[in-house]
Amino acid sequence: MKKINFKNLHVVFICLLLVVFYSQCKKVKIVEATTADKNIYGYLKSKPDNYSLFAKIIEISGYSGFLDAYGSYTIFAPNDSAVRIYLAEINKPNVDALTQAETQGIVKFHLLEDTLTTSQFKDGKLPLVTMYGQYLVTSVSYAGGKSSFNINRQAIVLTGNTKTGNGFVHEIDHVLKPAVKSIAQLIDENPNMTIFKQALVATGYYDTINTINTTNPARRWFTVLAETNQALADSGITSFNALRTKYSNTGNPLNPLDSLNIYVAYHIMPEAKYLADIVSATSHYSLAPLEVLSSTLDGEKVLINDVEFNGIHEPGVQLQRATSDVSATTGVLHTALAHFAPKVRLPFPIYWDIADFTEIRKLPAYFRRANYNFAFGTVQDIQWDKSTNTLNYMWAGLTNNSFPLAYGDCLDIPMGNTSRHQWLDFRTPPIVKGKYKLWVCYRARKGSGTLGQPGGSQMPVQVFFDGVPTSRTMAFTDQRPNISDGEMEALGWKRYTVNTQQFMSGKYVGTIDVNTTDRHMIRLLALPPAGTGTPNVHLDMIHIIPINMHQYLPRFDTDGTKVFN
Amino acid sequence: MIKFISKPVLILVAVLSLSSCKKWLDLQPQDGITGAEFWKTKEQVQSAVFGIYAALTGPAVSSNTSAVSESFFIWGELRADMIASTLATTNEQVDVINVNILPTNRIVNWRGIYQVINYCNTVLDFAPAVLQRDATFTQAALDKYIAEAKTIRALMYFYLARTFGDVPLKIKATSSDREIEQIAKSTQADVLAQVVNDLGEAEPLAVLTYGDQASDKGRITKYTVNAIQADVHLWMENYDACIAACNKLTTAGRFGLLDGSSANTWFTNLFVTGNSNESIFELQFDRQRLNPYFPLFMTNSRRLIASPVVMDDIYQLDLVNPLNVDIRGDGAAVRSSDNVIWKQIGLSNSTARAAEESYAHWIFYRYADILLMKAEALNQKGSGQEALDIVYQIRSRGRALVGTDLAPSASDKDGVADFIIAERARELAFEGKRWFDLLRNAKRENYRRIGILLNMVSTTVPPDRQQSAITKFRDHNSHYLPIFSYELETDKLLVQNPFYR
Repeated sequence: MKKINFKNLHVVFICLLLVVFYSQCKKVKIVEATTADKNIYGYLKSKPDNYSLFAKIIEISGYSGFLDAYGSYTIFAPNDSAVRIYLAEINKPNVDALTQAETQGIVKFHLLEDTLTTSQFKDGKLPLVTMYGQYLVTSVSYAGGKSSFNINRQAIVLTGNTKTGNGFVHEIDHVLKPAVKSIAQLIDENPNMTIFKQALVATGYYDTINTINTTNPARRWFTVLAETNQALADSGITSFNALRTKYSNTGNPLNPLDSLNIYVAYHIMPEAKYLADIVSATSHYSLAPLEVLSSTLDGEKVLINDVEFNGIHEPGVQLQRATSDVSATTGVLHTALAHFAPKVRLPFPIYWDIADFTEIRKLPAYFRRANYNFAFGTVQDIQWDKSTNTLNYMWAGLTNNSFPLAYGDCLDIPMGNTSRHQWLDFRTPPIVKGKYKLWVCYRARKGSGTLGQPGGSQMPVQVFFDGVPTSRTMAFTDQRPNISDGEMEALGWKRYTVNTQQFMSGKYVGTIDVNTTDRHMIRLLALPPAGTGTPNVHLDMIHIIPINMHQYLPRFDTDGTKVFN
Repeated sequence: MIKFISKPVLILVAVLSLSSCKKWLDLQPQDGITGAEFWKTKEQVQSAVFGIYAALTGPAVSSNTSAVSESFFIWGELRADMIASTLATTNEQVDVINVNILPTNRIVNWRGIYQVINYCNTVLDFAPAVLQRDATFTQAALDKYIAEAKTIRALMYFYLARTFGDVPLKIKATSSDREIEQIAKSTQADVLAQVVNDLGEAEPLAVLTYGDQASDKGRITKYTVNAIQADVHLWMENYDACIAACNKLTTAGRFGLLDGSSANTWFTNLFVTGNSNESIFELQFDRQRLNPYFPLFMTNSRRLIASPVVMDDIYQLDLVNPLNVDIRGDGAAVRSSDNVIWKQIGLSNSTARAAEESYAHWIFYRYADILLMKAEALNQKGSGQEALDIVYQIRSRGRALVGTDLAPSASDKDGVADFIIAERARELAFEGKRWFDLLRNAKRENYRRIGILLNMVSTTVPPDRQQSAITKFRDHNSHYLPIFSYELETDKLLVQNPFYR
């Protein structure tokens, strides 16, 4: 074998070094961007055949910089033909004739500061306000056999959901134009709403809904349910004078206590609520103090104040879809098809059989026939804390002398600070605003110890009405004293059943102030420090009785008969 | 040096090196069977055919799709009005309920269905050649297998055509990478024509019986072909052909309605045990091959429950006599106390299956379905009274409540049609039929009764989306699902349904 020549090796080594050295000098391409995705402005620039004019508008407005920077936006981009239609409408030869302020207005009205895809479009306003400061309304329109998303009833989405680096682009076929009129102006211009307009002026609310309130954000937006002249005429009111005669009791409609003032205030909600928002909640505050409007969706009809009160159905007032959802600078205008006003309701007592709710009524094999346990989350109007617990409906029968319950049934709800219910929430039937005494009616029972004797089980409970604790606590292990009805009432007890056994007890837990005529929440909370609770809590009824009415009558029999002695 | 190594050692080395060479040069895959090795015996043909059934009952073929047996349920029910969402419903399912389907929604991925179709195509392409290779394989046996493959392929294309409208029609096998090709969509009419053609060719070849009940109900027979024919012709508004196909089943003397005098026995025989005399074709899940419905309907995080309208409106209650119930309602279709979908979950009227017992069969067709299809076709042909007689026959077996009797006059064609739709909802609840029933009736005679779908969707979507959903449904293209985005990326010839563009 040949010997290695070290001299040669030196040369090779130097050559190698040189090669390595020079290769280092070669320019290496460094990727500076994390992505090659285009941002919104870059995307629009890259489609000159479609967006050249809108890109130009963005350029004039001076917003091209931030639309090409990091962020999350949604832009409705009018294509070139849309911009040309717009230019023709406003008599401008080309986009260069637009001032910077004009272009800024256009861009801001098409731009939202979040990413929204078409699947978030609903029947009403988008969840965010545009950078211009007005909401955009989405809907779906159908023409020529094709359904498309419609923006602000002005433009159709041609291509939706184009994803760019900093948000979504939706191509639209018309330039969106912001509303320029206030709600008051819209009503003013409508020849069918002259009477309602006069009422607005007379009560001073015309100005409220005419000017944008920049100081108080809670009064920035309004929703007005305007009544047409026809709607008023249907109720026999053919002129403003007739309306004033009917309602104005103080003679000064500007007085907030005047009934005409309240009537108008009842038609204004302090928020921008499109029909989709109205049907998404069951009740809405109006400007009339503590008066709520309830809303329901019946088929496709949006109804206001369609309620069942004290067993009587009061038909609601329909909002006309075609003429509603009109955007204005100060909010939204809807058209009501009938006359409505806050109802003067007198408080009436509610003898609420707590074991009578929709879900148990749907089980005729069980309702007032057999026991049934409801799983967590399956009862709409009753909630409780532990998903492992059930709500037990108990049927005791009509002739059970140990359980002479009203209607023969009750809720068997073990309570305490163990694995039992810590709390339960009940949604009440509608209560008219006013002052009431609250009674919890139950069958007293002790797991250990003797009723009426000290010691044994304890089950103290705090009752809350709309989150406010009532003045007295109660205990499901206490029975009523055996004294006369008058004496008992003075002590905060009553016998609510026809059966005279002492353990059938009604306990007064406090006086409640019901501010709004609405459904409210009652909570029973087990008070933790006292004992571990009891497995036998038999809640039968809750009585909500106006303070000026008889408190211990009527009494209830096992078949539900009311007895007035 | 060489003399130190003995001759035997040299020979050994030579032998060893040569033997390893042989393996090294063999390019056959180690973990599969190639076409050249397969398709030699009749047993291999049989196992290929059974593979089709296995694919129908199998799990999801990839993470971005669901099991095909789940798709049959989802496609048939989720867009209709008998399903409600829970807190555990996936966003994609909620999007379908809210009429917000995007092409990226995995529910619209048809991959599993096309895999089944490819298995059918493979059998159809390669099985005939086995006749030459295996002398014991007869023409009669081959015909039977061909009928099975053609029928299942037809059923799959029928599902695709009803769900997607226009779909690519692939009737040749893809057995190697070289055969992967891009294909454009065929129209729904062309796909349905292929379906009718396949069924027509399968019918004379299919067997009447395999000799045992499980095979008769779990594999394709001539009666299965007739049942699918009835459904396809009803969809295509060929009422005479539909009635003719139904009559082949009603006069066969092999099917009947199970006795409904005991609600529990009826439920157990028809849905729990399965393979009853009422059944025509059902997927044979078992303890080794569980169905995908348990996580959908039963676990605490169940994704779908029955809508409250199922008990309130569809079956209704007798408030006077609670023992008077429609046997198909509480304890059969649903558990009314918490609206659990019960048909695939119940082990009896009252007890539920455990996870490892979740092998209720998926029923494609049963006799009651055939009778109601016949009623629908008869009504369209103007024989309203005959149609009503069939409906009342079904109602009396199911002990339907008086409150659900719409009592249309026999001459009121739309009234009878509505009554049949309602009765199908009661009889075939949660059997993957509801959406197709509504769509078929709405689209009849060039969408004369689109109101059926508009009314339906107005009740299923949330109130704040109602108007949008109704207007979307006016666009006929919206009734068909979009093509999954991955398919669009890989097959450039596919064109998206215009509604979803």
